[in-house]
Amino acid sequence: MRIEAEHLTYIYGPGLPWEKRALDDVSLQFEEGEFVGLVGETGSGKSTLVQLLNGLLRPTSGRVLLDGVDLTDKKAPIWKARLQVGLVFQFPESQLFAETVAEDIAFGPRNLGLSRQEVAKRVEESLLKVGLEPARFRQRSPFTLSGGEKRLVAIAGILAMEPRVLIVDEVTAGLDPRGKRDILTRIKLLHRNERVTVIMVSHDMDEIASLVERVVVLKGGRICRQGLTREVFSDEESLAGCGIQLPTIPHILSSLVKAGWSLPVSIFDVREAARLIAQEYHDGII
Amino acid sequence: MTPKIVLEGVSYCYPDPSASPVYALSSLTLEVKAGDFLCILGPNGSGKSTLGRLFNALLLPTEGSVQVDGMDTRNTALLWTIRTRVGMVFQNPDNQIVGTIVEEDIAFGLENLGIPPIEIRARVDWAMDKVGISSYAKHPPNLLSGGQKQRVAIAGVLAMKPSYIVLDEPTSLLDPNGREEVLRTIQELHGEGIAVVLITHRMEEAMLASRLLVLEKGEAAFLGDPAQLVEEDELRRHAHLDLPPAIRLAQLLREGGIPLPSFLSRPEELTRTLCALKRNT
Repeated sequence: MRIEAEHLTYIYGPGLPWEKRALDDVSLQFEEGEFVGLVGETGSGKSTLVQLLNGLLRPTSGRVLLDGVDLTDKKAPIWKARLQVGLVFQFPESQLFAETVAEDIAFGPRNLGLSRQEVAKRVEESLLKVGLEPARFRQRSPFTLSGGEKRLVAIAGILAMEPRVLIVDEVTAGLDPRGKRDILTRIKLLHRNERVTVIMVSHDMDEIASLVERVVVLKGGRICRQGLTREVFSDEESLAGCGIQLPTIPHILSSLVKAGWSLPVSIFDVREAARLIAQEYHDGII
Repeated sequence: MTPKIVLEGVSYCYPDPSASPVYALSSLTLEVKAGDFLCILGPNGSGKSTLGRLFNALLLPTEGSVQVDGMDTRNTALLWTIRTRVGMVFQNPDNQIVGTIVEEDIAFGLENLGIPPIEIRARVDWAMDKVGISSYAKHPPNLLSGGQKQRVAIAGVLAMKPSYIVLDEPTSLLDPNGREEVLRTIQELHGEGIAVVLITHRMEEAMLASRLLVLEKGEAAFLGDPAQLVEEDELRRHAHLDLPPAIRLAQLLREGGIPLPSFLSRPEELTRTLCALKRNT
């Protein structure tokens, strides 16, 4: 599914003392099957943008098109379009409510009026997609699960709606290292195997660099930079102007380049970086 | 007597009438001295937050004792003295913000202590300045972003001028700039003599501490300094504690024949050392 945002502006509390222009004339596209990182400092408008993309918020001005269907048009069948953009909020586990994992995941599909068999099938499939074995988890209470498992169940609940676009907002926040790795692996597989378009909001540039193909950087409600991951993470100065730091390895490489070393900056793999640095170091000695 | 928090043989068991008791912490003995910087690591469910809450009597030990500067946390008469001395910042600021505007929220604790208004004003301004939220002084906290809210919560604790501050994953919601700012604040506070107990999942943050405690299933799996933990490959693998990229890079470079010291806590140290080595060859 292709998403187009045209001249999106969103103002919180218009006319109030704390009026805030969270998004200011933002236009951008997400192509079918892309894996895009959406980054920006706190308050740059990321969460507002993703809520506009699935119609949870209505723009103050501008419009959002999902495969050409205008989400802001009151007459358009946005209910259907909206179902195709699954939004996983920050801390989605706080939205779990049912007595069993299966019930929780079934809630969405059941409201679509699907048959009992179809709902059951979707529950099974969604659990498998997030890597939770149905036999072990189906009947458990969500509240007995670990933090990482709860979050996987919440994501399964979104996947059961079979969205074509998955937006995840700070999906690893607060998880322990193992939970983090599990979730990221699952999202990577969803993108690869199910060819779901993924838009990932994150503050962790190391995470972004290791996963996404393209990066959009927001600052103060506007697009500050966008492009292929390697391009965006190749210039420390211009990125700093957007309030974003380079991922750790490019940051180290960039500091060495400033000190006169001859190295590429846009390397994300620690082994490759080590090889290049060692080479340059030993060359210097000879 | 030197001021310190002393935990002796502390176990904690959450009451659960339906099941057999599960110990969140068992027989933990630990000291946090004035001016310490202790970092607590461990997977979810290992007892980190339980331990954090035992430091200022939010929880009382099932067995053993917790003494704050010689005061037993079981002594209810000393509760407010203990809580003023040991400040607590939680992971989710929404659970600890009560004021309708930012500066009122920060003043809340001070007002309850009966501190004179002029002093309150001065401390609130100081605390807001410390965490960089002065420009939001008149904003309603519920309209701030997650990161801004967390800084409000930290300011609220700072305003109490505690001797110890326990932070339970305070940066997990912040963007890198916000995190850097809060970590800098934490280090400044530590530099001014406040003891810091930092609960985190981030190895980058843990590397800044002077001592680390790794918890596993409620027991201390490791207690030592960051450089020692870097050496403990087996333990780290087991506890899923990956080395931060800069430290991993340093390790690989040492293997590649560059004579780097065995521990560098920050990426800047790595670049500085590399440049110095290259100049001298």
